Amino acid sequence: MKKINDILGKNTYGQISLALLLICIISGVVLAIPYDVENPLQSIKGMLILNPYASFIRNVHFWSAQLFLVFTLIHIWDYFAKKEKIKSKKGIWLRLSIGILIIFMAMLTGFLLKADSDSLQAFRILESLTLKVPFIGNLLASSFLGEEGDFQLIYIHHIATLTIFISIITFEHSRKIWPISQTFIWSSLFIIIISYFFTAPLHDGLNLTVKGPWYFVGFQEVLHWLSSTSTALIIILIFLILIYIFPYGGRKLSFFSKRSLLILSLAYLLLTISGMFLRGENWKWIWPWDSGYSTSVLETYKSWKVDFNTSDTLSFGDSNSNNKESCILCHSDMLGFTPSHNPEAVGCFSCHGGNPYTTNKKASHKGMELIPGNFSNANRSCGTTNCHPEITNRKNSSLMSTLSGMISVDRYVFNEQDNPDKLTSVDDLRNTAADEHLKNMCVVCHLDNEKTETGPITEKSRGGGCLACHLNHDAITATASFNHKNNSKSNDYLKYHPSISMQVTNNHCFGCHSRSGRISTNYEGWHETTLSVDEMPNTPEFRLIEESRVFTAKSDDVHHKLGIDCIDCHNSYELMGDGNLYAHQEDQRVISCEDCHFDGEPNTIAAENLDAESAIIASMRFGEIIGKRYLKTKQRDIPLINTEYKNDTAYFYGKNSLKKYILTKPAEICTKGTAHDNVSCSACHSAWAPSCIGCHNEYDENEPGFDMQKNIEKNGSWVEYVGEYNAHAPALGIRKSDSSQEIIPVVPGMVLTIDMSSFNKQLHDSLIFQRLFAPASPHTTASKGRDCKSCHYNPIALGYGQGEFSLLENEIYFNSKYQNNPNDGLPEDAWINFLGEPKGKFSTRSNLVPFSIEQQKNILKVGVCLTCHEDNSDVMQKSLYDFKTILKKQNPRCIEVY
Amino acid sequence: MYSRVKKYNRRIFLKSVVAGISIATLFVWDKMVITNKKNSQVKYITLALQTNKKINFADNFIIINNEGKIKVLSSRCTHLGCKINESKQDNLLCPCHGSSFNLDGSPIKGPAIKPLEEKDFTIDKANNTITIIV
Repeated sequence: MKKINDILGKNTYGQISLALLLICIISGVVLAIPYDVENPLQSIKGMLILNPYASFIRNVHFWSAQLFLVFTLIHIWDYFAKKEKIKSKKGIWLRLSIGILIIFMAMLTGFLLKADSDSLQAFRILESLTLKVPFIGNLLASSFLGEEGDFQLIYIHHIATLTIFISIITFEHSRKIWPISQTFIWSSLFIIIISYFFTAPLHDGLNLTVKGPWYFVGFQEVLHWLSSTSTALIIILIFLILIYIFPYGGRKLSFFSKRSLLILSLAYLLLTISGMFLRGENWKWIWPWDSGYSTSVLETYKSWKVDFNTSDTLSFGDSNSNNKESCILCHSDMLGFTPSHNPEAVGCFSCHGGNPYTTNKKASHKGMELIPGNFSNANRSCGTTNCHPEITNRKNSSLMSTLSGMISVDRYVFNEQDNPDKLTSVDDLRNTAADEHLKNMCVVCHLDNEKTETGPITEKSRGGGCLACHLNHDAITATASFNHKNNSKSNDYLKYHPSISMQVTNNHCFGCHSRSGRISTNYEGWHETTLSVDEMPNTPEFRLIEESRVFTAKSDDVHHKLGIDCIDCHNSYELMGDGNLYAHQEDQRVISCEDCHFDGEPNTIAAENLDAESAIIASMRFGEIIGKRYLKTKQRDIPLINTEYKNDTAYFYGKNSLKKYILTKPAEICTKGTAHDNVSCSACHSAWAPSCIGCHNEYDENEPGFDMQKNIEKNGSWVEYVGEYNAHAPALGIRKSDSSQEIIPVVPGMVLTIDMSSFNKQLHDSLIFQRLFAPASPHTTASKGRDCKSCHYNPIALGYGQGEFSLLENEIYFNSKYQNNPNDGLPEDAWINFLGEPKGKFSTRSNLVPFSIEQQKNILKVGVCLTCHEDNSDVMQKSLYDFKTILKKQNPRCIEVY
Repeated sequence: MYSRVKKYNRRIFLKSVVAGISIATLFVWDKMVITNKKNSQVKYITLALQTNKKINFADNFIIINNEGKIKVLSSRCTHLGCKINESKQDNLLCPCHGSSFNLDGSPIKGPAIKPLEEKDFTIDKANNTITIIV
């Protein structure tokens, strides 16, 4: 301290404080010109964006005030550190002691006058604390703070009452009005320099971290730990008493005061540091290495230099927006926005971040998100408090985020997991053989996968967070984006912004869902072949996807024929999660055929009972909702907002096309009798399903690979050697639940061999063979269901694979098309042996089983009848009600099996 | 002796007068503030009712619609008055000191220990509005 004193010479801490106070008062008087107490936040934004000189004066006022406080505290410390006591009159010392509190109040009222979100919360805290003052709390709060949102009293006390008090006690204490000129000059120069480089803070209104001013943050930390806020007032009182008693107490009391203040000050310093740098949103503890640290903590201290080059021609024009951002000044003519995401309504900053308070190009783009909506930034772009936090909070529960089923099944196949239904997430991937397999082959298709390039969603797109579904380019924006990426000199990309909307098209789903189960391509009527590009015939029956995959035409889904899109059936809770974690797709899916094609009483919900999300989506898509009744799903009662039930008729609307359809009841045959009560609609109506057989997987350490989790290239990769792709009516299996059984379509899910020794050299000749079938929802719905034989006398349907049945002397024989696989002795494409039962692992779900031997026999028993009797014959139709009685009346010529 | 008593009495008198004026000033000041507050106080506020939204932060209130059962809570945190303006998984979060409350308004994480104040209200179904007694 002595050394510093020597350096300072005549510039004592008191002198510096006095100089800073003078600078602060003068700059405050000037700042009063652009500051508007009626609309404080907007006036400050106006200064920052359009008036660099006002912004500079604000900085001078801010920094001189902060440093005035700092040097005043050092001055007090200096006084306490001196060995000899300089006693002033008790009255003066009392006023000086109270003056410390007044200085803090002046600083705090200055903080409140910013009127940003930090200030508004600070007002409430200050008001609550003031109201706790015994007897006169209410009087003080009403007299010095006033009503919330009205800054008149605070402004008056800041510029008059408190400033005058501080000036009086400073004069009474120092007997000086003017500081030493040298001190004033050096202080001014220093303030000018830092005011140029560091703009005074203003909370952007989106960051959820709420912090008081730096000198209050330690107290905020104390308050976090105190339920009784009266204790906080006592702490302040103790500080003041300790300061007051210091010069007048005896030796012991003074020593006690000094030591106590030292300990309390050091403790406060530590609390201040932790409050400033280790507390984030909702005052949660956060370490610098935790994710979100830069947003929660560092971003709140962002500062930038004053740009005096701001053009005089810049103006907000006639905009009445209360959301003034500097971005608009340069990007004012941008086109392409939907009304709900128009910058006039939401600004640019709420999605893209950056700095909305400066016109300096570099500073305004610093920290900007070029592609908002990726999950790494979704919480502070799409998910900010005023936008879609309900959705971004639950997005991670969606299977499209977790990939739980995909991961669990793969681990089960690699014998790394004892069941295929464990809940897991793509974030849990490790370095095992299965997880490496997933990283090399599969997990690129998850929503967390970052979109890293601008431009439209294509069939090659994977992931992209919210934008994966909600980004829409039209021809103009797509061209502008393409030209920009291809080094065109055109700046059109700055004129056109892609729209962010609810118009989720089938193309958005296509990239990921044209793989694996291939529901996107199935839906459109395309089946993948093993042809190479060179082998592809140049006819309309063939289609090239992703420049390498050759598809051939098949029948498309009846709903596709009618122009129905994916999102017409699949709702926001299925796609973006409902907050619950699910193991597999069919667990998260809520829509089922019967929700629209019901027989009997409809399951409906009135508009006034819709949940918020459904109501908003319904009204945005279809206008007025009051008075409407909607269908809702059987599973979890989710409203189908693109339906309407009116005058005993159910209507269905295309969400994008707005086309109107009348919903039809299931055909009579579907509900006839009791024989098929447990047969799902898709078991009969799925015209075809793709199936792959005979796939082999091995790890090649020299193969150029890709880690799809981290999106990095690497050496070594699992390589898949595909066998054969087939397309035919799917096999059938049984999905069991505690109370029911349902016959559903199944396809070969994981029929493959894995050479484990190629991944782990210590495992010699370790070959895994699996024959797992998976439940399927082929999305190849035909209006006419399968005929009876297609299930009852079809080896594929029963799980035996392709082949032929033959009847000889009341016995059925099966001749398979494919040879038996040496690993398990079953035909390549079979699930089970003819009249056999599976062994070991056989399904990608714990609740999925093939028909039992008894069930196979029962099915074939009907099938044999169908070899002579037509589907529509009287006897077969009657059998739908009571097959056993029909059998008893069997003709002697009938073939009897089993 | 006589003059000292006289001086002493004058000082007491002057101090008493100053004290009296101060108390009177304080009294008038207090009365003015109370009267001003009474005259300017808003007694009730009418807001649009969003029955479709489970948690609706409106003005200084939190309107909870729990399966049709509506409850209005003050958004003023019972710890130090901060405005609660965020919810996560049906928890109402105070941004300032980390308190959180359930949808009944009961504190589930400190420092707040008192429940959020419940407000009386009436609903106008015809106009779809809610009037909250401030």
